[in-house]
Amino acid sequence: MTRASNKLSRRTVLRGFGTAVALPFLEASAQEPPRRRFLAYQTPNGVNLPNWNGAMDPMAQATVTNLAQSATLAPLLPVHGSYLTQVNGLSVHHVGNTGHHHAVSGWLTAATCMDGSLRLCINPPSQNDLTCAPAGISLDQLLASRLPRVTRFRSLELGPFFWVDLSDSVCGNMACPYLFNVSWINGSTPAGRDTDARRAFDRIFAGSSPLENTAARERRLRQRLRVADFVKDDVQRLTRRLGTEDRRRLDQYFSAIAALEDDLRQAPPAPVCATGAPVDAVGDVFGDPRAYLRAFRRIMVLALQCDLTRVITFMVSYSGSPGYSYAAAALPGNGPGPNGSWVYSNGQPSNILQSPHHEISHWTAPTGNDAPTLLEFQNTKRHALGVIDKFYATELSALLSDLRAIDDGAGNNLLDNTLVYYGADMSDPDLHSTLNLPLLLAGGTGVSLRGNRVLNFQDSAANLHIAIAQLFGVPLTTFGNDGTRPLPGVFS
Amino acid sequence: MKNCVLRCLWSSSPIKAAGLGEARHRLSLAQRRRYHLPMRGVSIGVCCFCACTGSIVIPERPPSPPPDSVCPANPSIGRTALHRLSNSEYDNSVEALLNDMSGPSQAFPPDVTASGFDHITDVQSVSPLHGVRYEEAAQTLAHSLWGREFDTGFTHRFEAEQNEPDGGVDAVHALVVSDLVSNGARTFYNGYHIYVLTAFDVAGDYEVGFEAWSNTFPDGGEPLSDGGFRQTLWRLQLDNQVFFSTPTMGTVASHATHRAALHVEVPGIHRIDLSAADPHDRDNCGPDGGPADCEARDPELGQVDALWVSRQATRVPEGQQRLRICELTEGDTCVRSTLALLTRRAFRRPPASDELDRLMALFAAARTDGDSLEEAFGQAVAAILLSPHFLFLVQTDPAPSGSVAHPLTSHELAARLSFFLTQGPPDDALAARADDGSLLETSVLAAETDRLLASATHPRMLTNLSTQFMGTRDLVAAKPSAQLFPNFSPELKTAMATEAQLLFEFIFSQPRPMVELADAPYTFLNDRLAAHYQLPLPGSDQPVKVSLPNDERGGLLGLGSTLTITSTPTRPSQVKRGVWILGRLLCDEPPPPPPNVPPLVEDQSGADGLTAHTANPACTRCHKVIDPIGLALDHYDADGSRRIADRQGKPVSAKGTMPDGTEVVDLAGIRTLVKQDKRFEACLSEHLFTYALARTPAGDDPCIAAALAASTGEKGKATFHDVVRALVQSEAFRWRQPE
Repeated sequence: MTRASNKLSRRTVLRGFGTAVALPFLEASAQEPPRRRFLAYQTPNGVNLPNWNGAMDPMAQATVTNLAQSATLAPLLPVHGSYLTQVNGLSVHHVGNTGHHHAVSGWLTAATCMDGSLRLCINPPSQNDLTCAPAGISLDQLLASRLPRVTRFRSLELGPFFWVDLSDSVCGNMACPYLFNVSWINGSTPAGRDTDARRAFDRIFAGSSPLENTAARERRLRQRLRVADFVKDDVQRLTRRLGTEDRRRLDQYFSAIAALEDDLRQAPPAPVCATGAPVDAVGDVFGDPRAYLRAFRRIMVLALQCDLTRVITFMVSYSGSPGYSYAAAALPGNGPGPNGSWVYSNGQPSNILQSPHHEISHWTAPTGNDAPTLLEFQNTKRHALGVIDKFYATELSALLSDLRAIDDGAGNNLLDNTLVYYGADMSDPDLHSTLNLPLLLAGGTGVSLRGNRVLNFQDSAANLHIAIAQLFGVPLTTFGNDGTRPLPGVFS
Repeated sequence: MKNCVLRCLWSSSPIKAAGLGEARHRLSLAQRRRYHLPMRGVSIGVCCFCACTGSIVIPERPPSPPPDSVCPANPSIGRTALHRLSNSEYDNSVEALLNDMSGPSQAFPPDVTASGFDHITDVQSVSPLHGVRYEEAAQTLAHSLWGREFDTGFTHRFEAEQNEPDGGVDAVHALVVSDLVSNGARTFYNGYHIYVLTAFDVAGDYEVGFEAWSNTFPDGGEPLSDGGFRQTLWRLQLDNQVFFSTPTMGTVASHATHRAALHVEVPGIHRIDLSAADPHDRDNCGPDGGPADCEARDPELGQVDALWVSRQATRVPEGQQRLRICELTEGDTCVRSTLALLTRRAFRRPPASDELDRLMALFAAARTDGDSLEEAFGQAVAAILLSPHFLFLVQTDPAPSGSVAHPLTSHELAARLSFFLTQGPPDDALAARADDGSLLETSVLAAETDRLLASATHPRMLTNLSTQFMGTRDLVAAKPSAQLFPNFSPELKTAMATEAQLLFEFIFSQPRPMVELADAPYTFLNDRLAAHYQLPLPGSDQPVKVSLPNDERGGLLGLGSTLTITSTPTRPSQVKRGVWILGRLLCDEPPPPPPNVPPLVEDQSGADGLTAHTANPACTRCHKVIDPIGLALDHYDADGSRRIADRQGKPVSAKGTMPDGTEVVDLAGIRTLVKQDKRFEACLSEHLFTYALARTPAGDDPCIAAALAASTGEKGKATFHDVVRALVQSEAFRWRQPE
C-alpha cells in the first residue's frame, strides 16, 4: 500500500465499498481519524415535556433557548454542558394514531409499522402495498451495514429480556416485535439483542483475552469457517428433498449461516483489550434498574474503548404496560404530600413512584366524587414522570463521564468521538405522541458537535437521521417516512 | 369512587379499519386462531376488549364444530410444518446427546408463543440471530466435549536466575533483590521470597512445584536460644494466601523437589510467592524486616533452582465417555464409528453412509490444515450440532411432489412421540423400536407410549405443558399493585404457580378425568397460600394436597394463579376472565373488538362499567357472553384473594346473567357451567393435540381432537392418558400429509 492511498477520502472508500474491496484498503481507511462512534439510548414511555423543553403543549414548539432552562437536563450542565446539544421540534410522523409500537420501532426508523403484520413501511402504506418490506431499517443498522467493517462487531444491541408474557406473536392488534425492538434490519426483521449482561459480556469480550495469541485466534477462525461451510452444504442437500413450505424455513436457516460465515470472514479479530472482571449477573430491569443500567453501561463503554464496535443501541426498557416500577431504584419521594408522599388516589398518601412507569405516564382525567381534582391528578403524575426523567438523566451523566474518562488518542477522549443519540420514544406519553420528540445529542469535536446549544426545529426526525448518516460518511438522501434532506445546522 | 381508565395502548390506522370486518370474516378458523391468539394474560391486549364503543359490527365468527358432530368420513389429517427444536427442546437434546446441562438456549432468541405453546411450528422462524447463537453454542459444546482434550495441560517453569521481566506475564520477579545467583540458583535468606505472575487458564486443579536445596545443619545444628533447632520453612502463597508449607530440617544438605496441589477458583493471572523462613529466627530477621545486619548474621537457609506451575490434562467429560467406544488415536475407523454413534443420536436415525463420508472429509480437511486429532474431531461434532437434521425434526415425503398422505417412518414417528411425551429425543429403547421398525405396529406403539408416560423424562414434559397450559408462565410477569396488595410477595407467587402446576400434573398423571380440572375438590397448598385463601393451614412450607372445606376454592378457576393473571395490577378484570375462560377452557375465543375505538372507562366494581358493552349493539354480541362469565368471579380480587366488597366498600354480587337468562353465581356457578359445557372436554383434548403436533389446529383438526376424547368412552370421564393414547394411534399423529 502506497502512502498516497492512505490519504483516500472516506467518500472514496464508501464508493468502493459494497463492490469488492480488498482488505488492506479498509485497513488503510481504518487509520483515518476520527474514529466516530454512534450510541443510541432510548428510554420508554415519553417524558414530562414541560420539564424537558419548556413547552406545556405537546404539539407546540419548544420554548427553551438554552440548556439551563430544561429542568430535566440542567443538572447535567455543570459537568457535561460543553458536550450537549438539545434538539427540539423533531417528529416521527406516522399515519393515523400512534401507540407504543409506533413509538418504539419508529424512533430510529422514522417509519410506520403496519397493523397486524410484520412490516415497517414507509408512508403512505397503501392497503395492498406488499412492496415496502425492505423499508424500515433503523439508523443504527444502516450505519452498521454501510460503514466499512473495521471492528469485531458491526453493531451491538442491548436491552431488556424478551418478556415472556408478551412473547405472543400478536400484542393486541399489532405484532409484538414492534413493541419490543428499536433496531431493525428491515421492516420485518428486528436485529435482536443481548438481554443478559453477564452473557453479553462473555460473548462480546470473548477472544479479547491477553492469554490467547493471534495464531490461535486465526486457527480458531479457520475452523469455524470450515464448519459453517460444511453446514451450508448440508442444508442445501436437505433442501432439495423438501416441499416448498418446509424449504422456505430451511432457506431462512441457510441465510442465517451464510450471513454468519460472511461475518466471520469480514470480522477483524477482536483486539487484545484488558476488560477486567466480568460483570455480575444483574437480573433484569424489573429487578433493580440501577444495577441493570450500571452493568450495561460498563459493557457499552468497554466495547467502545476496546474498539469492538462503533455502533451501539441500548433500549432501557419496554414502553407500555405494565412497565416497571422505580421504587426499587430508591428514587426520592419528593412529592407534594406529607413527608414527601404523593397524594394520589382516594386521598390516601402513597408513593406514586411505586406505580408502573406506564401507569404514571397516563393522566387522562378520572371521574368520580372522591377523585382528586384534575389538575392535582395530572400534576402529580407529571411530577412523578419528571423524577423518572431525571433518574435517566443521571444515568446518562454517568455514561458520559465514563466515556470522557477514556483516552481515545490525539488528545481526545472517547466522548469527543462518540455521538450519543439520547431520548424517549415519545414526547407526551398521555397522547402517545411522537411529535416534538425529546432528543439530546451528546458528543464532542470528533462528531462535529459544538455543545452548550439548544436547537429548535419544526422538522422530521428522519432528516436528523440523514444528517447523522452523512456525518458518518453514508451518502444517504432519503430515509424513513419523510426524510428528504439532512437537517441543517446540527453538525458543524 | 375511583375509576380506572383503560386505554388501548395502540390504535389503528383508520385506513386499515375500513373493510376489516369483511376481511376477518374471510379468515378460516385456523387463521383466526393464528392471528388472534389466546390472551395469555396480555393486559394491553385485553383492555381493547373494553374499548368497545365503535360502530363496526363484529361479524359472527364461524361456529366451532360441535364436539358431538361426526367428523367427515375421511378427515384431512393436516400438516405440521418443519419443526425447529424449541429452545427447551434444544437444551433437552444436548443433555441427552452430550450430557450437557448448561442450558445453552438461554442465549438464543426467545421462542414465539402461539395457541398457548412455545413450540408451535406455524409461527417459528429462523432469524440471523439464530444462526449466530446456534453456531456459538455448537462450537462451545464441541469444544467443551472434545476440544478440551487437545489441551494436554501445561507446565510453566521459571528458572530462578531469570530475574528480569521478559515482557510477558510469565516473568519471574525478584521481590527482594539479590544478585546472589550461584550455580543457576537463588540464595534465600530468612524472609526472602520470589514470585511469579502467571496465567491460570481455567478454574481447576494445578500443581505448583519447586526444586530447592535446604542448607545443612549437622546434627540438627546447635539448639537455638528458644530450645528449637534451626530449620527452613518453605512456603507457597497464592495471592498472599498460604496454600503450602513444609519444614526442612536435616542433618545433611538436602536437595528436594516439593510439590503442592493448588485449586484455582477464578481463572486469570494470579501471583505465586515462594518464601523461606526460619521459624526460630533468633535475630528477628523476619519478613517484616529486622536489623540491617540480619543478612550478614543470618546464614543462608537454602537455594531455589526453579519454580513451576503445571496443570494436568483436563479430565474426559462424562458426555464424551458416553460416546467413547474406541480411542480416536486408533485411526479413521474409530473416528468414523464414533461419528456414526453421535450422528445416530443427534439425527434420531442412523446416518446415511454419504453423510458419514462427508463428516470424515471435514475431519480429514481439518487434519490436513494442521489441526490436532481432537480439534478436527471437535469440528465434526460442531457440524453435527449445526446440521438441519439435528436442529429440525425433519420429515420427508417419498416423492416431494406427491400429495398422498403416507405413514411416518419409524424414526420420524419415534421422534414425534418422544418429543411429545418427554420433550426430548428418543431414548435407547425407543430408538431400538424405531431401528427394527416395530414401532409402526400398533401394539408396540401403545407399549412405548405407556412406557414413556412412566419414564423418568416424562415429568419435564408435564411441567412444560402445565406451566404453559395453566398460565403460570404469565404469572411471572403479573404485578399486583404493591400499594393495594401489600401482602402479595414473590413467595406467594411461587406458591400459586406451584399449586396450579401440581393440580394439573395430578389430574394428568393419576390419571383423573380431565374435566376434574374445573371442580377438583382438592388443591395443593402451603401455609403461605392457605393463609392467603383464608383456609386452615396445612402446617407445611411445602405444598401438600388438601381437601377443600367449601366452594370458595377448587378447580382451576379458583386458583390464585388463574385469578391473578386475569386481573390488571389494580383490580380484577371481568373481561379478561371471561375471555380467558372462553378461549383457554372452551377453545372459543371471541375475536378482538373493532379497532380504533375510543377508550372506555371501566368501573372498578365491574357491573356498572360494563353497561357500555351492552348499551352498544356492536359490542353486545361478544360481551353478552364474556361479561357475565367474568362477573361470576367477582368475589376474587386482583391478587387472587377472596373479597365480598370492592375497594369502595360496595358489596360485590358475583352474579352474571347469560344470554339465555341463566344466572351464574360465584365460583361454584361458573365451574359447573364450564364442566357441563360440551366444549370443555373437547377443548382440553384440542390443547393436547396442539401440543403433540406442534401446530395450531386447522381444517379438520379440532374435530379430530374432539373425537379423541369422545372415543375413549363415557363423556366427561376421559383422562389425559386416554387422550394421549388415542392421539398417538390416530392418523393425524402417525401419518404425514405432503404439501
